[in-house]
Amino acid sequence: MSKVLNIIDTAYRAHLEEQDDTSMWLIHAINNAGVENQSILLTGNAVNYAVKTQKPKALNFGSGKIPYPNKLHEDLQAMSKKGIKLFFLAGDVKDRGISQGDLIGEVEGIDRSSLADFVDDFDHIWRW
Amino acid sequence: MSKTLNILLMDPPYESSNTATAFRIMESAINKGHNITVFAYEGATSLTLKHQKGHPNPVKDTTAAEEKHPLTKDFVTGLFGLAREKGTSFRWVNCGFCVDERGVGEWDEGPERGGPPQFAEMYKNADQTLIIPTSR
Amino acid sequence: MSKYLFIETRDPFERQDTVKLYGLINELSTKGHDVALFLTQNGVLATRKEAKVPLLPVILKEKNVAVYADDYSLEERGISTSDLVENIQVSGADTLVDLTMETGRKPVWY
Repeated sequence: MSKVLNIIDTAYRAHLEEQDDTSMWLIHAINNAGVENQSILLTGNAVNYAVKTQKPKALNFGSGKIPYPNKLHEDLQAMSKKGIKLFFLAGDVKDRGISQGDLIGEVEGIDRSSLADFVDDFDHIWRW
Repeated sequence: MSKTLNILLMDPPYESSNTATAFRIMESAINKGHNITVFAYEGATSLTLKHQKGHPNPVKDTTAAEEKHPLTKDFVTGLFGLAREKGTSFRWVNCGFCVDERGVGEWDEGPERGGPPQFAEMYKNADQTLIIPTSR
Repeated sequence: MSKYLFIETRDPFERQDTVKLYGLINELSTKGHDVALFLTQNGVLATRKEAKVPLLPVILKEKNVAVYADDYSLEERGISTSDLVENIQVSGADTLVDLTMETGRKPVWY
């Protein structure tokens, strides 16, 4: 079965009014629909999705609302439970002053020096 | 040899150069005899909206007829026609939830409503899948 | 060995990770993989001889790397073929489709 690597490198884009990161949502949904053997590599500012202290608040715009902004680290954990493997680029975490202890336990770090070998292990590379 | 290219689009019309490049790829692929499946996700579901219309351009002092503002729904219709002419297949699926939240569910003949199961099916049946992420 | 197609639409001065992509391409080619880089849209802003993109001439010298610049994007931006850094192949959507549809090639859009 083909192995798919999903690279997510832009975070916090449209996720409030969608109450989901739309790339993560689709990856999860197609996994449920039979596209198995998927992994996610968080890079750039998307490494922050793995930070376990994210606490978005509901928003009101008069009577318009964003009632349930999603906790992205919990979405990642739900995907991990479905067999989607999670990785992050270690240098991008370090650059942002994030420590390993700040992250959910389900993600595994990859060094940039190993990136070429890492991506080569996959049949398809989809960047979101 | 004819193959099938599956493309996922995300950008809404009139916002990104990705749109024109994607349509250039589709047009070239159809001319080469390939089959195309498109999964329009998020803002790309507006590409097919039936109610798009042209307008005059007061900066250039043109009437609507003179300006001939391109409409992305016509690009899609055009490619359906080109595929028929070339004897290849062109399938356009709009992600249903994305359509609903944007209220863009009216389109000319051709596009169909679908969702992640259709993308999964198109991925499995294609020789190649190209994801064109939203520009930022 | 694997085959890759990176489609770069971004100006290398716009985002830091554009340069990181060039670095990944260099590394993949050093490991013997076949890499095609197709520059289109603002990605062609890297192609002028005088552009300050130190990694582009490096990857252009790699034997496993082919760098293409989209003719439509070049003309749109007033970049003529005589302005281009050496060894870039000017091509268009047809080449991009051929590369994308090549068996075993992995296309990634940036």
